[in-house]
Amino acid sequence: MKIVRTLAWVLLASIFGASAGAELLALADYSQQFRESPNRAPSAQFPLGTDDLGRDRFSRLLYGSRVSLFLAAAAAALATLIAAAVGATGGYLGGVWEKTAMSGTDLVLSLPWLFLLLAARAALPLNAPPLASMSITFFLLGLLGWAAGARVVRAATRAVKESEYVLQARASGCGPFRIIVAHVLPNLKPVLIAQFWLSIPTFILSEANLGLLGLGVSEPMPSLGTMLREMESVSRIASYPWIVAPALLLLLVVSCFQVVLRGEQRPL
Amino acid sequence: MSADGSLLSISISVDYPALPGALRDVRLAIQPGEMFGLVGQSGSGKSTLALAVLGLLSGRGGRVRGSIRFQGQELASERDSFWRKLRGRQIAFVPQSSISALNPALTLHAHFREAWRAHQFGKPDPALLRELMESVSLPGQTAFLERHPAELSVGQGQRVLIALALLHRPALIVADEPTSALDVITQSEILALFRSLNRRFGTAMLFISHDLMSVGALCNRIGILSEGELVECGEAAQILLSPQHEYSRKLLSALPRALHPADLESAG
Amino acid sequence: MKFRGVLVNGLTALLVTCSALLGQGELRFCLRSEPRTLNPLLTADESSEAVRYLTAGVLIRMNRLTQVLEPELVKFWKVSEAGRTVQFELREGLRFSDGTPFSAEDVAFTMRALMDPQLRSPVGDSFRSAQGVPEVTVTGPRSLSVRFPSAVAGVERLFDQVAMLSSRSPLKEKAVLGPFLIGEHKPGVHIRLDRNPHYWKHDEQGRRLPYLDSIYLEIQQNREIEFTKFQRGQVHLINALDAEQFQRLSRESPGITHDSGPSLDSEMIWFNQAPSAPIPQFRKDWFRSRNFRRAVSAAIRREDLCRMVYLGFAQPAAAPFSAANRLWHNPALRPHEFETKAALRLLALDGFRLENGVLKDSAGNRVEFSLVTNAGNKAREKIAAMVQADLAQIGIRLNVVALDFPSLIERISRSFSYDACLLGLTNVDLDPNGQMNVWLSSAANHQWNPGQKTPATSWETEIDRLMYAQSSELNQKKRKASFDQVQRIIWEEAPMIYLVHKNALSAVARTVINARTTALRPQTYWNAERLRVSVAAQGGAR
Repeated sequence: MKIVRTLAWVLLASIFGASAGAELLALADYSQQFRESPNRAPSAQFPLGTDDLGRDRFSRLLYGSRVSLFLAAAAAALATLIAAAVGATGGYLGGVWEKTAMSGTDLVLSLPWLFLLLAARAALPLNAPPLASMSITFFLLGLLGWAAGARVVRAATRAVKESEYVLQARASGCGPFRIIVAHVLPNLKPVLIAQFWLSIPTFILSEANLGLLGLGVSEPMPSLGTMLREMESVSRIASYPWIVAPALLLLLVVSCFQVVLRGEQRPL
Repeated sequence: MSADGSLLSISISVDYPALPGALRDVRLAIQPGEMFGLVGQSGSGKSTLALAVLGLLSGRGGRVRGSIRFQGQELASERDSFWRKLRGRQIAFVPQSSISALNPALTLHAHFREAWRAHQFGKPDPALLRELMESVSLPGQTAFLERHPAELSVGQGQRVLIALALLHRPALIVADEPTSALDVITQSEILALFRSLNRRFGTAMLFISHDLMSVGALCNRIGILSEGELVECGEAAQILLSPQHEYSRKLLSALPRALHPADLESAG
Repeated sequence: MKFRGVLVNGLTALLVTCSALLGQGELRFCLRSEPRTLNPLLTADESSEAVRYLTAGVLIRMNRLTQVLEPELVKFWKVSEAGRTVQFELREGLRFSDGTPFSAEDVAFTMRALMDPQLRSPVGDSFRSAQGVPEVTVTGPRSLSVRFPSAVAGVERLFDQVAMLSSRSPLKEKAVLGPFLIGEHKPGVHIRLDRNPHYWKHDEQGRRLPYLDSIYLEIQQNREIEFTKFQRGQVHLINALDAEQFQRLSRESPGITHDSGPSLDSEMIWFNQAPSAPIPQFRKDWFRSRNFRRAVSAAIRREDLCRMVYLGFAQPAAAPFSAANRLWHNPALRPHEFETKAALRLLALDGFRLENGVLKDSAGNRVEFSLVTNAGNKAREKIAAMVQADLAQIGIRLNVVALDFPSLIERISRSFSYDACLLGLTNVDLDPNGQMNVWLSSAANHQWNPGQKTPATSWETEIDRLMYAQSSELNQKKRKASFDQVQRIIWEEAPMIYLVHKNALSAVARTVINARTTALRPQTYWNAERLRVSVAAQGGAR
């Protein structure tokens, strides 16, 4: 098991290192169109071949994973934070607070958030740089993607609330806010971490789907989402099997994190 | 101080939604610096009384009728925010089980920090903490304070809880079955600790137990609680030597012959 | 292997012959969406139009192969009064699918229904003009005349879209005069069209058409699935085939794919010239400059767009009508040449200059603007990315923004909050009169600056004049000259920058007999009444 964990760490470090050092590793600019060489198979010049417009897939994967992994992680952190705040407050305080928090959660779950996103995109200035519009997309994903997590957090909070140590903290004169922050949330760490890691691939895939509606990253910037979108045609995968590389990368990142985190959570 | 000079004088009845009359017109008074023992079987309402004195019943759905006077002030009608200022600082609590009453996610130091922050700004002074730890016969160095509850023995945990209760030098400690989870040797050590702390700091104590033996060894006065009513209350010696109520006699006769109260009287 | 191939081919040929003699079968193909309506007067979308084309009888039909108008339900028609009146003489003995006879009264009934303002028929709208609606006079059981409030050149072509209804049949609009009738409709799944037993056309041997027993229209949005079904022989036709699929299919089984050359569709870019547009004044100044527009056009490599986006199955575009429109294409116009130097020269005339690879206008503003397009169209997204790279070569930063369709329409036709737009135009009507709503400066679809009270520029004034001139001119040569000039002005001034005309690609299974594909819709089944499917195909289709 230890070897597996070490391996996972090494893989993660190299993936993040590679995307952070995309400038050094990429053989070509991600937006450069080699118009004489569209849809090339992998070669020394293009390690993962080229796309329809003759752009180096390897370079696009490096830059795309940097953008997607970073922004999806940021959005997941935001969503987890909101889920923790809403779920723990509602679950701990109970009564009116809980009712408000849960009806807020239900509201967000039932909202036609796609239309909200569309409205938000429509309201954005057209001349925003690609990175800015993509950041906003992920920010909105984070802002809207917390509701399911909040329910889980609330359920966990209620269990913690009944514990002896919370009674002891109250008997020490601790106020509800400090109890939530210092006593309840640290005990929800496994729940919160799970929520966080579940959100990352979800958000990356959401971005891919939002691309279909014009809400994703805009040209020429690559993202894991837009690259994953190329796989929607089975016959395309059959002709150009190397286009599954982004999916494999995403799978690798998520499973490595799972391995690493399971190790972290072992009792000391 | 109240007119009669009592630190705490209560005259209460408690109802739970599912159990009306959990306590029925229980009247008792504790003098400053006094060790008062409350004995009863499980289900007699001992813990309810402890929570009532700490103002923590509302969280469990209990409703208190009557009067709780502490240092001459009527508390029964006060809001929770008022109680919170008293809890931990004036009235401290030592719960039964150290294993479940300490937050598994926090270090010992964090427990002290949170208890400190409930009433004071900043962090507890390290020197103060060391002194406090030494007063309950625990190592006071940083390394020990950085431990998590899972790294303590049951007896050490109980001492930590006592130290936590002593943090703000309260006028009254409410101890609910503080020794019942301990082995006999540790039990006697803790009892000795309580006795010495009482002598050193003059802290009054409401010592709640099902164990007449340990109560008799520690307390000046004893009350006997049975099915929500205080059936007998008086000097320890008097109750141990000539119990008036039938229930008290039953409790007494359950004690092993070798540990007859008459011997303890001379030892105490 | 070779032997067996010959044997199988021989066997197929035998089966084909047999089935040709039997002359029966079911043709199957996919509609890409559920038809919005089955009422032939309300048709607006492609799927509804397919059903109408196969079921409706019309007075005049444009031959999709020759692009010539031919009498269909009429023996002949005559245009008189300088184009204001069209007289029709109906064929004898025509019956609707339920046996009800067809008469001039039915035509009058249809025209009345079509022009009913309550119905809001899109086909009816093309008959309507500012001066009023046409008037129908029945002059005999099989003769009638339609009088228009003003003379409109080529107006009779509109009857290609008018499905004749019966005024008497209890089946109402379900009684049809076309080769097929709707046999079964399972919404969202399929429509089965059955042979109309009363269809009037006969083949050269005197046999009653159509040959097919039925046509099975599967409603299938997913083009991948449509393609797979075609490969498995479960459907027989694919219209408007995607270039990549076309290429693959051509490689796998040559001979079943058909490239009918450039289609009538075009992809183009236009700049927002609306005076009320909430964009900075300096950008409006750029967009109103002919030099700027022509420079952008000259910086785009149209050959690359054809080669990379359409894999070569497209032609660089010069003007609104591609060569597919035999009558109205202007062959004198060539697509704007790709020439970076010329582009920069044009820009310099307006005071633009290139500084360290960044183009700036005379006031020092960096030349940067957005290009909106509809999200989800892969070809268009690729075009946008390539235009972006091309414009970067002359120092222009292009921000590509893909929007959902409603937001896009909101921006280009109501708020005017956009810089430039990339869209495609699908031409159905071959006649310039079908484009009056685009080229007149007062028109709502005059995209770069719609609904002008008076033309903003002298060249728009000239376009208005020429468009009106051609619309009332009956002499075809003079009409053509006028519209050629309109196309030339558009080419010169480039209010619309035409990029490419994609080719009309299609696939027809070998088992379909008599198929002749064309660039015009419906590409593969325009002669559905003469199509046959061999028995071998029936086996394959099951």
